[in-house]
Amino acid sequence: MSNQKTTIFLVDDHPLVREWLTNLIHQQPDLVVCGEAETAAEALEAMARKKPDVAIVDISLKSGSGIGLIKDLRTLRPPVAVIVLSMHDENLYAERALRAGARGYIMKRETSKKIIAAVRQVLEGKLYLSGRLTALFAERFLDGNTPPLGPSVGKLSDRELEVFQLLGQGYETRQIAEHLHVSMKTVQAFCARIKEKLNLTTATELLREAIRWHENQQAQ
Amino acid sequence: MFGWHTRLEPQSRPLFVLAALVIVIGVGVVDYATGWELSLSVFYLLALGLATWFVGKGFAFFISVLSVAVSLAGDLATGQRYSSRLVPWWNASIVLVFYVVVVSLLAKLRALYGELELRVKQRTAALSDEMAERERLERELLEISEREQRRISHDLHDSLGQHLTGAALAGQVLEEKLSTRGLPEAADANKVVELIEEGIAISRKLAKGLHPIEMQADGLMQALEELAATSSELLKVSCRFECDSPVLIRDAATSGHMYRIAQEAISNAVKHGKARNITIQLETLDDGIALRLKDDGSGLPDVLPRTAGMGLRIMSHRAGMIGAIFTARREDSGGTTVTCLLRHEDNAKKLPGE
Repeated sequence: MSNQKTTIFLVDDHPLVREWLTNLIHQQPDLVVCGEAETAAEALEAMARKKPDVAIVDISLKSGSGIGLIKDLRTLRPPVAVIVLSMHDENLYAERALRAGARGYIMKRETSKKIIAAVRQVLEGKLYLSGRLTALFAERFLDGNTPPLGPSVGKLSDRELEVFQLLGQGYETRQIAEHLHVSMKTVQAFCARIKEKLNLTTATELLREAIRWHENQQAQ
Repeated sequence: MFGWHTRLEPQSRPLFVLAALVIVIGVGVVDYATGWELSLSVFYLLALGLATWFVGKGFAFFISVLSVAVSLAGDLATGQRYSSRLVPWWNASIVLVFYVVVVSLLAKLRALYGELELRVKQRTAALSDEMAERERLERELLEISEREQRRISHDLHDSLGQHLTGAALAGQVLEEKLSTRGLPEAADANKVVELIEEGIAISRKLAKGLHPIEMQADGLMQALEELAATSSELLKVSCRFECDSPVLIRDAATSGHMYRIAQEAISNAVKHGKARNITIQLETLDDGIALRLKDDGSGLPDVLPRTAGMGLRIMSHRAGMIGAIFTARREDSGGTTVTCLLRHEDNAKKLPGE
């Protein structure tokens, strides 16, 4: 096993990126690219055969989504460690990718230096995230807002919790007002109080937390 | 002044026929009752007028003859003796000629009036066609610019960004090759990689500026949040975004237009109103979703400078395109409030699970 190279599979719809990613990886004596694919379907099929150790996956693919692919890859035996390599902002996609089962997230603008480091770190069984994102997640953990624990919803009143749940299910203010038979103003007041209690500053954050919490509840 | 008749005319023709006849008979009865000395021939003109204007020339001539006949019959029926038997007939003939002239003139007038009206209608139609065409063009222009921006943004983000990523990777490979040989040029290669990565960051920023909204329902909230932050930074004003409960807009084009309205309003507030504080509010109301921009500038002037007028027009256009109601007004307390109200029906989506 020790003299056997670690195999890496590339899923990216841009040929230039695949080509130079391969060259970069081949600079490393112990790493080898065992295959590449442009679409999610192709990738799943090829990886089932080649059984790579690590997969580097772009989120936006020609057909099929990278996130969907990552979810599908969880069924592979032996498991493959997925690193997401994406043009998209980590704020928007990193958490989603990790929840889907990825072990690392790298934005393409910082690819070159970090990709090899990420591969090594993931092979050691650790997560690989940017310093900024790691700090953010740590902060959430300390706030008690980390996903496994759920946000500190214990502080919410029953009514506020109800609003919070409905938000998480994708209901809009108007629909929540109809559902709870209260006025729009009341829902807005509830939202303001929830934000205060959960230490959130914007409605976007409120929505994200609500969705995160809801997904968490579903998972449990 | 005869505007009302156009609405009456088609369906009420028989009514006017009846009215004319009733008037003739009515005046005839009065004529008979008042005796032969008094001439009431002027009152028959009312019937003639109605007949000419609303029914037609032929009928009007008939009414003329009828009026004269009724009047003559009435006069004769009183049994009055004239100096000559021809006198009443002579008088009747005079009145008849007079009636015929009046009817002819009135009919001519009516024809001219009809022609004029037709022409006005044609012109109006042409004008409203032209206006519709212009509006369509303006809309098309906005759409084209939006589409182009989206396309360029997409190209920058995807094609160029990906290409640069490949280039950065290539540079990295070069750097590693150089450094394994212990060559000092490795540092230069490293610099090249850094420069390319900066290039990726720049292309991302450009792409974001061109197409600021992520394709998600909560995209507008995020984009407005960022707009408030960048406006504060770049325009040296205090720009705040207020949004109590999440506002979701499903349609990306709608979000896009609302975002551009906010952008334009901020630029107007700073450029023309010299505002120092701007508040962007996004709120769900009973009748729709309201985007409101309040500033403490000098308010809308009575006479708009050309550029501001254009900005307002475009904002109101954008609002129109998404079916929203746009208003911009000067506050009594100073400053301007720009509101764009998107009705719920235009943002409707069924409740999940229903």
